[in-house]
Amino acid sequence: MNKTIYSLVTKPINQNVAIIRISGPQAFESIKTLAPTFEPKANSVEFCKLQSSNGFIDDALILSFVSPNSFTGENVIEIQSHGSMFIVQKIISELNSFGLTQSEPGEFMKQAYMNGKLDLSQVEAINTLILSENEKLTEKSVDNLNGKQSTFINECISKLGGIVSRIQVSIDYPENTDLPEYNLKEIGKSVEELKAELESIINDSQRLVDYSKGIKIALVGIPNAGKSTLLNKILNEDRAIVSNVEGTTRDVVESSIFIDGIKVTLQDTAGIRSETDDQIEHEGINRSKKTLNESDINLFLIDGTKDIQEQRELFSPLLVDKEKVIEVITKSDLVKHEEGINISSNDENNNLLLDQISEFIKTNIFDSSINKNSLLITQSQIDNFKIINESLGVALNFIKHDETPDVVAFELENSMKQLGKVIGVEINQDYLTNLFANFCIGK
Amino acid sequence: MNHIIIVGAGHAGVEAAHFAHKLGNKVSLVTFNEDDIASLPCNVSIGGSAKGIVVKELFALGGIMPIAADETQLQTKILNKSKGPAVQALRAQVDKVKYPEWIKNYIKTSGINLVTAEVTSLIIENDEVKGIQLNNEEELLGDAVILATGTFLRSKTMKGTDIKEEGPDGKRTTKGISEQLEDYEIELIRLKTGTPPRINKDSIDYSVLVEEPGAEEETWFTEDTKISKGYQNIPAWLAYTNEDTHQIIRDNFDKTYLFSDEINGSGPRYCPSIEDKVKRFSDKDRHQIFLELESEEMNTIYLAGISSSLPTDIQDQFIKTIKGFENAIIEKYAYAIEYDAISPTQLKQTLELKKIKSLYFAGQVNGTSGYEEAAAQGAIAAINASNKLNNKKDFILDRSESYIGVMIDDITTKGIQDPYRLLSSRAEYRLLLRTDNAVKRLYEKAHDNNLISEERYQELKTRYEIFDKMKDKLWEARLNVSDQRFLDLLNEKEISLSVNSVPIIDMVKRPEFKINELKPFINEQIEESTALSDNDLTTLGIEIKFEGYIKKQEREVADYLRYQKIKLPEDLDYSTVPNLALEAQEKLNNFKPISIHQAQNIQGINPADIMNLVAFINKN
Repeated sequence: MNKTIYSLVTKPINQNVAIIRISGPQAFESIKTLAPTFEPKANSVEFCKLQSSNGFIDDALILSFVSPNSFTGENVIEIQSHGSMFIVQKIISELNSFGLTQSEPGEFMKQAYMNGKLDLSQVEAINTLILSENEKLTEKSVDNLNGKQSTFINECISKLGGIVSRIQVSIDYPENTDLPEYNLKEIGKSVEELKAELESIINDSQRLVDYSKGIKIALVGIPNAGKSTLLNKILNEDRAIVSNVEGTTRDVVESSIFIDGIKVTLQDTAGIRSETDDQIEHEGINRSKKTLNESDINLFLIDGTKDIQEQRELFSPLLVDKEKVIEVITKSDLVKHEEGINISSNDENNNLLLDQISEFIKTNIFDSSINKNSLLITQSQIDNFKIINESLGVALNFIKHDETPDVVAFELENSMKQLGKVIGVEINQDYLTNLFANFCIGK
Repeated sequence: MNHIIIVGAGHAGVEAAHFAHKLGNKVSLVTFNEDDIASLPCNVSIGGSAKGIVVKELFALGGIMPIAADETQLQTKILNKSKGPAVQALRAQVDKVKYPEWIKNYIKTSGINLVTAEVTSLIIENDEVKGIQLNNEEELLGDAVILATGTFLRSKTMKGTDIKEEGPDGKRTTKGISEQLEDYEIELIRLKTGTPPRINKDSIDYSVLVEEPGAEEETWFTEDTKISKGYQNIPAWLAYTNEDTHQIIRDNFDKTYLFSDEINGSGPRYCPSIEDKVKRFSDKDRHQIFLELESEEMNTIYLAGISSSLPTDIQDQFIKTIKGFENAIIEKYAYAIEYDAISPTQLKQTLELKKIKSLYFAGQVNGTSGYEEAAAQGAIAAINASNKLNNKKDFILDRSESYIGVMIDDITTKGIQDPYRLLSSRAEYRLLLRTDNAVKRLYEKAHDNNLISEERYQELKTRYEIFDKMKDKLWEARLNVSDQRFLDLLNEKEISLSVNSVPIIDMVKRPEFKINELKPFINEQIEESTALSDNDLTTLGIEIKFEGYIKKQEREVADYLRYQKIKLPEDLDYSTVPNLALEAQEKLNNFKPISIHQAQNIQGINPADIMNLVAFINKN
């Protein structure tokens, strides 16, 4: 007998509404004493008065889903009560005394997976969805929950299946001269295309996963260019401040804010003067270089009251990757320049600059390719795809070196099996031999 | 002495009798008629892709089929020569008269007790088989019974609407055993297969056909065994159907079982009839036909590719549309046959029935097709019956070590929907399961189970010790361009080296070289008397060339064996395993798998169930 499990699915704090979910074969039976008037009906909502042996508990809405038409595939009840933890406790103690067990983390999802309601790709999608602090990753998770990833992978599997079965059928029916001819070099071409496609998926997904942990912006400029002022100003805005790391003036100081649903960490770097013998400052320069290197955007603050060109030349060796540099000219209240983004500490708000950053993120970081190609949403999926790509590489190498079809087909079959693993489907030998039905063979 | 009774003297029964006898048991081989012994009712060939490797494996185990095939071959081919060493296999066209004769002679002179009678029922007491009941009112008592009844259980043949209750070639059918098995709630399934027409060899115009010769070089299933006859190489021919043929067949679809309510057995997916092919592949404007002489002592030609169940007059019509067949005379019409088989998931991997002790099943009755598949099962059933009676361990060949293992694992674990045929694609470890290393793979197990003589074993042991030594040596040996022979070889291949000497291994790994071309250099590495045979040289070449690959596959095997090793107790009640899906509980309780690996492969068991099962077993 499968277990019937329950859990408070909203947070365990006093709030407006609390939701308790029950899932399993005994779900309906378990609330008989709690809600005597309740009648389970597929996909229905019922208003009920909850009670225990000690009397009335609360007014509640009870949603019921009949197996297999529920999220978990089991019979499911969701009780929406008022959100006092006192009430929740009373309901839960009733469920306990009936003999239900509290679910372990992820157990509802496990039921859904075991009942075939979700494949592995979808389970990962839900996990990522719940944990995501990031709008982009959330979008991708929803896509995958809707089966985008599974569809793509299934397409790849059937593409490879077509190739492998064409080679294998001629191995298994060597005397059949009517089988469609194949050309390993041509097969090589389509494998190469597939490999390139997977490669861009891997790269863009890796960017998505990495960026989803947050984007780093390093502030750089000569001392007193206004880095700390800007940092403080941005952070004093009415935005969600995630963390503040304290440091000495010469250290990197960092803070995080959300821009368009993406966590952005701003890191100050020590000011850099043109020449210095100062040991501590020297150390500071090295650290700044490292920070600039590791960040996704280099926000280059240019003191508008000084020679702009000179500052550019001074920082040129530090700003190695020109593509990630945003130039900002400060102190526009003192000297107004025609070019670039001009800001001043007297500006009412930072919208202009933040809009620029947001625009930069949209076009340069979460660009169109990341939107199109980032099909993978967890590191483990990416790692799996890397294994698949390696395997395709081995097959291509075999083809390039004129090795025999047996090993080529064999390695491509391996790739197919690995792809199956990503969506939790076992691609076994039967899958392959079933494809033989597409060929005219026989005695 | 234990008495093992074998019912049916086809390829499964004969191989079973051979092994049971060899292992020192008293053996009774029961058949309707002596003429049925090892008959070849369908194609006249032994071997083929994957199947040829099975015959090699039978040779490694000391079987009879490979010797009989070599003794009576008319033509032998190495298949898949260009497709790679892993999938090469032998196929021998054998003589339809001489092959059964050779086996019959062997049986009669071996000391196996040949019984000609019909078996009307099995004698079963307390779910254990005790013997068989014969139609002459006699009882034959024994310690184990192997049923190798082929297509003879409740069979029906079909030529169009002409449906008869008979076995293959118009022979008797039997229904007593089927009915009795049903009484014991053994699940039976209906299967169907067919055979093509045979035409008179003198009624064909060969001048318009394509001649297909066999292999030039002598190729044999056996090795180091004295074959009394010389190597033969008669040709085969190729012909094609055409649009006229297809039109006649299409016009007569309604006269085949395809549209008959009376016949509902599942036909072989990978071996469809010509009417199936015309129907399913309507875009093809021709289908090939292989012509093979059935026997030097017969005047008939076997037409591989056009098995049929059309009425005889329609067969006459469509045959004459084929180029070269304008005046063809059909000597024997094609027919389809429907028969009872048991659902093979009811068998243990030893081929003993789970429900009835000491009752074994082998061959086509288990839902397989093919002489080779049948023979291999005969061997497995007999060795296990004998081992069990002698309190020895089960003889189970794993799917990672043999094609025989792949077949038995597939049919007993996954079951079948249509007649099962071995395919190289079914073997996930096929790079390890080659024809060249069949003996190397299995000789230790063969020896452990007394299947080969001590003398043969010592010989093989020495042979593979030399092999290993040679392999080690090659890692150090180098080829020098100052060696004129090597230089000539390089020039011939248009390879220029930037160094003066290279390791032999590097050359072996290059796709431009076949190991045979490097043979003189390799054999120089060891004393002349211990030079490797061409076969072992091939093995060596493959093992070197795909070393990394083979190692990877061996790691995969090791991984899989870990699951294979987690045994499941026979008396486990799966409803007590927490978190198992209801469907999984039912299936596992029904099936009683022996290992996690087997459980994994039962249909409808998903990875989550396996995770929970492993967790449960580990905890307990």
